[in-house]
Amino acid sequence: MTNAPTDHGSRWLDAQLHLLDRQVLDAAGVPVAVVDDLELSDVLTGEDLPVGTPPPVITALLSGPVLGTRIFGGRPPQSRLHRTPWALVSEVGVVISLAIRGETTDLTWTERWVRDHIIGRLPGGRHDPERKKRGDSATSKRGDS
Amino acid sequence: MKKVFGLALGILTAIGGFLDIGDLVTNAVVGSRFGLSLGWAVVVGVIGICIFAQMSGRVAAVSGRATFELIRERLGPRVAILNLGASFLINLMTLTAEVGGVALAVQLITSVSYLLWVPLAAVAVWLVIWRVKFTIMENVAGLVGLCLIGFLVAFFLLNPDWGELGRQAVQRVSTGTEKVSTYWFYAVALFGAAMTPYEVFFFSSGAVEEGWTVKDLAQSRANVIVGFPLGGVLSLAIAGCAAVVLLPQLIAVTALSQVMLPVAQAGGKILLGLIILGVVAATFGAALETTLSAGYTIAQFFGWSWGKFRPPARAARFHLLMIICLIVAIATLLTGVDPITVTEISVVFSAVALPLTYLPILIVANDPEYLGEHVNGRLLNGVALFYMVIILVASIAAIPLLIITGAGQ
Amino acid sequence: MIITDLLGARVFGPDFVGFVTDARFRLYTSSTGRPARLYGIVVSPHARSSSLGYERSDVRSPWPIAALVRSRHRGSFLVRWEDIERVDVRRVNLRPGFTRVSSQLP
Repeated sequence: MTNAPTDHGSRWLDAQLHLLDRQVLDAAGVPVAVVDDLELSDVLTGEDLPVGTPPPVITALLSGPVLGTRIFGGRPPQSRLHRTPWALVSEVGVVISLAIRGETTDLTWTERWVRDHIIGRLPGGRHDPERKKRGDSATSKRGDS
Repeated sequence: MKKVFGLALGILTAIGGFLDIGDLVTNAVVGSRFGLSLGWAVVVGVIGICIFAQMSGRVAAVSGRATFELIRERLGPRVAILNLGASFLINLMTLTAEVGGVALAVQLITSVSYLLWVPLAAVAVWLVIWRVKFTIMENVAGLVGLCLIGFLVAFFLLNPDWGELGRQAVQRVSTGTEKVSTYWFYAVALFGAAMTPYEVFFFSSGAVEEGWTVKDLAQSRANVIVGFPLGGVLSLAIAGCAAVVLLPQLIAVTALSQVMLPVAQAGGKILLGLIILGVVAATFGAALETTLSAGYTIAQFFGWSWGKFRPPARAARFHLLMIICLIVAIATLLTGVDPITVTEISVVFSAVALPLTYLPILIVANDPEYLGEHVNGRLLNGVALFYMVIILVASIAAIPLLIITGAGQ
Repeated sequence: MIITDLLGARVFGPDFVGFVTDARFRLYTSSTGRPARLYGIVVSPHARSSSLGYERSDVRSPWPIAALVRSRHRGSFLVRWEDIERVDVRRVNLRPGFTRVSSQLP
């Protein structure tokens, strides 16, 4: 389960151990989704692969209603999965960090809807309980609000 | 004073965990029927929760991951959803019972019908979750809940026969009409109450709420060492009071007011007033803990933004879920169901969910990817593994015992 | 292709050798775009899934669980991408003479 870098410039990632079911945080450290699946670049199926075919790369993280299918089997249609392009991933560790803020993606659609139509409308919904910034002690892993 | 406040998380977790309305009554019931002969179950449970809460606190401080997040990451979605289903149901049942418990306790003071207090109690719980800062919430609820120390005071004031109590503690004693299966049912119930999963969900999420880091490991340990044993001592004090006053007179405990009888006898009105304040605070604290736990587990499973440290608008689904839970609680209580029965049954169900909760904690506490150099030592692993066996036995025995004994009749 | 199409697939070379329990990627942290290229698949003769990973690392605690998992995945190995001949629905064929590499995480 350790993830020691090998020759500098590359690291090893096992899908089940390091990527699937991991929390995804946005650039501000706010949780946006869990990795439910991984999208790989196209692989020729149903035919023998010619020798020397380059290996596929991860093209996107997938989140969405794949939970039922991960547990029971089958696969939801592509249109229902939220795609987060791999290029937006800035760091892979205990959590996966993105280089963008959550508001800019479809991933957080439900969250924004609930905020705009329910929670944001209740008095005090936008009140920040930690108005005083934390001191300069060791950076906590919480992220900003 | 600041140091005492730094221990509030552990104290509140313990109070909400095993001094909530169901456990207050269960401890008194056990004391009135078995004396102190089930005291060992409380001790075993307290040691167990100390071990695992310490591990989950360490994981939260070093890696920033709260316990339920780990369950899905390490064991996969199938196991996690099983655990989520069980834990969420238990949280919902318990929070319903706690809201009812606050109403019951306030009824003791005001003599106004408890059904009127139910919606008010739920709204009060919501307001605190909505608006009050986490540290203020834990300090107030935790420290006012410590008024339950009145039970300890009452216990000593009652001049107990130490020889008799010692005899009870080491051999199985009952009023003669109790069956062996009932004895073990309550042993499992007391053990399950001390190790209820929502305690670690709350404690580890609270550690993240407070922003604990590697530098706070000592504080995390102190919270565990002080909070849970204190809760255990108070549990034993409640059982002890019942053992001294109610057991000899064969008084059965069926209502909250009977739990207070020994205290009234020992210290009169002032001590009784203190206790009732403690009960209100402890039950309110338990309501906060279980409601927040319901929010934490669901949000952490689905990867939603969570936390009281964020403005509600930035953890919208987390807050909406808790509001829905409280509404369900009000609706359930208004149908007239007895909150105490609800919680006594939910304790047994939590015994079933124990292995799924504590195994991932043990696994992650050994994983250098999460903890670096702070992984478990061999001694701790040995004790924890021993406890996993106890936990497995308790979880397998819980439902059969519940059925055989008819929930302890 | 999505990864869960590959995980749990039966692996033949030409006889049945096991199930795909994981896919190993090499993340090139210094290249532009930080691509994660499929390096190979982890095949386990007896079990369909592996989420704890004790058979691929040297973490041995807690010992009963590590021992249980390692036993369940005994004989598991890594097959490099170059040795994969064909990928079908729930089935992977390996090239003749494929090499079994240790599945230990370096």
